[in-house]
Amino acid sequence: MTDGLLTVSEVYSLTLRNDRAELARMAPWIDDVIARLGVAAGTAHALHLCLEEAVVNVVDYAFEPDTSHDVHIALWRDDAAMHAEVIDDGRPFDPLSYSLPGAPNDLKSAEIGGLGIKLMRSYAARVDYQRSGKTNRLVLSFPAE
Amino acid sequence: MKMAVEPVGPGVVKVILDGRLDVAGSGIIDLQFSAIAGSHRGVVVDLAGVSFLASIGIRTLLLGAKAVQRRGGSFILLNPVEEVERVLEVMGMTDLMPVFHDADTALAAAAAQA
Repeated sequence: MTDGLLTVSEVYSLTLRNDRAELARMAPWIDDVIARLGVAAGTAHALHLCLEEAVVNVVDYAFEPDTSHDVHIALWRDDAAMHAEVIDDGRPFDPLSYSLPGAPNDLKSAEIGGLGIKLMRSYAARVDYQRSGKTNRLVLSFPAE
Repeated sequence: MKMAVEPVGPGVVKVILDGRLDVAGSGIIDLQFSAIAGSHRGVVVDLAGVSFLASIGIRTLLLGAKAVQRRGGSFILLNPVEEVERVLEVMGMTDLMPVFHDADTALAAAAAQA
């Protein structure tokens, strides 16, 4: 480690097709990476939750029906934070621009849309989104310890 | 993801879920869960075996609760693990679906509405 610089781990990556069935590969992969990188239990849970929401969102909404695309996921950590990146070439979608449903008042009026984005924004310590060219890049960060 | 259904009394049922309530898990139980919610006035959902709850699973629970409430019944969650209960709280769901940590109390509450 050099003074003043963060130590950055190896970057682990996983590529999924835009198919809900592919999501089954993600949770065991996250567990494996977490075991290698060593993060706090609360962060492990938040990471599973936010990646599930982010990737489901891309798989369900980013692409035209019946087209095949890759969704690239990467995980790495530095001294302070765990980072998760999701990259896709689907339509632009900034989860930070989405207006969240408020707290529901009663069952009848409770909305069933927007729950995933609300969860992701509640559980990630930081959410960064960039659109460059035809690519969406979402980076979610969490306290490492 | 596994789902077991235990009839408790007239119109009252306990649904025991076991596994991850994520996209894959919800996909497995959705149809059966909504059929149960649509045909009972007292539904207790035992979440003790649910290790992970994502928004898609919240949607499954919420749709079930809406269906039960439309018919004047009661939809109750039982024994969620800490992380799952926290997700329910963060999403404001514990104000809509009561959470119990005692099975007898939960079943009595569900039966009272049935």
